[in-house]
Amino acid sequence: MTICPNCGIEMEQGYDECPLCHHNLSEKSQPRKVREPAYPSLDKPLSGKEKKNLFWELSTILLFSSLVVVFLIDIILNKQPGWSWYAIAAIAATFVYITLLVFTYRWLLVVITGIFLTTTGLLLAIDILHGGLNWFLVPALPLVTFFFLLLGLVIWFANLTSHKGLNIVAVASVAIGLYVMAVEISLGWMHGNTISLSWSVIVASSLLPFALILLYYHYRLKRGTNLRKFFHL
Amino acid sequence: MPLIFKPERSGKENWLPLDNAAKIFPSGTNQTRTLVFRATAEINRPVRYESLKKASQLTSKRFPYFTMHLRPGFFWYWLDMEADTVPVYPDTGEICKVFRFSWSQEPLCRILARNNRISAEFYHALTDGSGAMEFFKTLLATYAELEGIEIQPGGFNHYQSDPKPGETEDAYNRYFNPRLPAPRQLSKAYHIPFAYTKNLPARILSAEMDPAIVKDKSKQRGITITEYLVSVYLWAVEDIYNNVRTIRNLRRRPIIRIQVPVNLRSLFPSNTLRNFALFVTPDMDMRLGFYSFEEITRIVHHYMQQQTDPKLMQKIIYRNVRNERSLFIRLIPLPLKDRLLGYFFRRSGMELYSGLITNLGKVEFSGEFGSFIERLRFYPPPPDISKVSIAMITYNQKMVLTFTNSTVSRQLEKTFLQFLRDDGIPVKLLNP
Repeated sequence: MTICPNCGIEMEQGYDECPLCHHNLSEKSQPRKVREPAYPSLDKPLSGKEKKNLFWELSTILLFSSLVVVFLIDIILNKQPGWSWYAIAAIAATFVYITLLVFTYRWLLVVITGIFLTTTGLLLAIDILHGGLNWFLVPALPLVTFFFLLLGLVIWFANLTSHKGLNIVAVASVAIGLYVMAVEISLGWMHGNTISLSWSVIVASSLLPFALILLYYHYRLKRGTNLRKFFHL
Repeated sequence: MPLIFKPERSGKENWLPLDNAAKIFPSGTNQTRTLVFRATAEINRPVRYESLKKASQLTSKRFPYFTMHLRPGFFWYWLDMEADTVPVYPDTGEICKVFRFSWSQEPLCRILARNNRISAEFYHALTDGSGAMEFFKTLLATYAELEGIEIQPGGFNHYQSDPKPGETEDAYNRYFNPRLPAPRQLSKAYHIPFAYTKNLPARILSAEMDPAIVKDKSKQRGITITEYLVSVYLWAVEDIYNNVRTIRNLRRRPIIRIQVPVNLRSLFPSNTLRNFALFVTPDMDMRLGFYSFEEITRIVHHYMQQQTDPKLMQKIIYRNVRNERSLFIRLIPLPLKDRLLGYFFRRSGMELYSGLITNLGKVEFSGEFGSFIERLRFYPPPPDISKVSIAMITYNQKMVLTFTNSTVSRQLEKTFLQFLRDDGIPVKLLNP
């Protein structure tokens, strides 16, 4: 039997530290030995990095094949490339999305910025293919910019908070409220160069109390709370 | 209809609303007013960790109610169950430390150990002294049994025994009678004038005496031990009222009133482990002049005899439960209710009394188990506005009085114990 010199509790032999007060009982704590396996495994499973590389390679082959097939079909049917440019632009954008998500997913800012630039580029390409800049500058560019700004803020908040749940839904609701206001402003500007707010304010002000209730519910409780318990009178 | 708690983890029924007395406690809790009390046993050998942990597991299985923790709801707090076992911690000397209950899933009961002492601390919203002692006695008996001590049945619930019906009922609601008048409101009382200590949450002093001598002194005056010690308490406060010269004492209120908890289980049959106690409040109006000790004992004796009448107790139950059942109060959201109840807790729970003294009574363990447990102590919750609280418990021919004092002065303890010594009762001070 051992008695802890700190808390005076008696314990069985074999403890390096007191199980109650965690006082170190040994003079020198021995590093824990890691037992080597008798035989190294021959059929070693793929590591996470190898799986990602494989996924990217397969996706690239599939997308490139699709691109070639779409282009050839367009040439064969129309003797010259036409509608396939739209598909090629979309496939190219998908390729960039996959590449960003596979290789830079740890850097949130890089992913968001990359996806934003790719989406902007895709919309610009589609507008040009359609016959000039008609709708890209207003409303597409401000709406896409604002969307990614809000998305970035919501994701940043979600990363920041340790207890994820309804609080993220609440922040997303506020973001949606702001976004519908941006939609109304952009559409108003496109149609008559005027800024007016009417229906979007009603939508946003309806979402705000909803978000506040979710925030209250989330921060006053922990996850998995039963409503019957929470609202018992 | 009383709530019957299912000890087995039924998934849906493992929660309880707070009992009537407990409803106000979370709103009245802070770092100094912790509303935590402690029971301590000194055994005849060092505590063994493995046995204590196992004893905690077995006792928690018998009393799953003590593994519950507090959660805030929209209208009220409630008791929820996540843990299986009451946790065991080292006893670092922080007595009656506050329980974190807003986000924590920590049970409102904890077991502490150091050297040869086993302690258990309880949050008052979970249980009262009587309910806590049921858990604590089973814990000690289980620990002793695991240590190979021969246990004789009687005086405690064995950990393998079945839960009794109504162990988690809200007995206040069971004995609520809606056709009664409410009792009269009390006026604010005098509080000893010493400044608060920074030694949070309170300073502790334990004193041991022979219960046979205390009983003899009480009998000579024709009163019970509790009445005798309540009288000594009133006498000590009166002494400070008359003799301490400070600026605070100049603005004193004229009523000295002591809270004496009454275990309602002796008046209204109930097996509940939850709160089921009310107070009798013997008082003295200092505008009427000086009271001799004999006068105080007479006042206390008649007051306690009269006020412990079940009919009068039902009036207080009526007032408390009526307030809880009021639709207006129930519909107030919790953040606002916290402020209101916190105010009423100070106003009706603290300012009306000059102090508190509680008698946990006599605990008996027989045979080898009896000699295994050397001494029991009970620490009352650290007082706030009333400044000094006293708890007494008798075991093994030793009566231990424990003072929790939130002031810088030990004058009240000094006067109290000096009186006992002068009355012929030898007093031994114990290590805290």
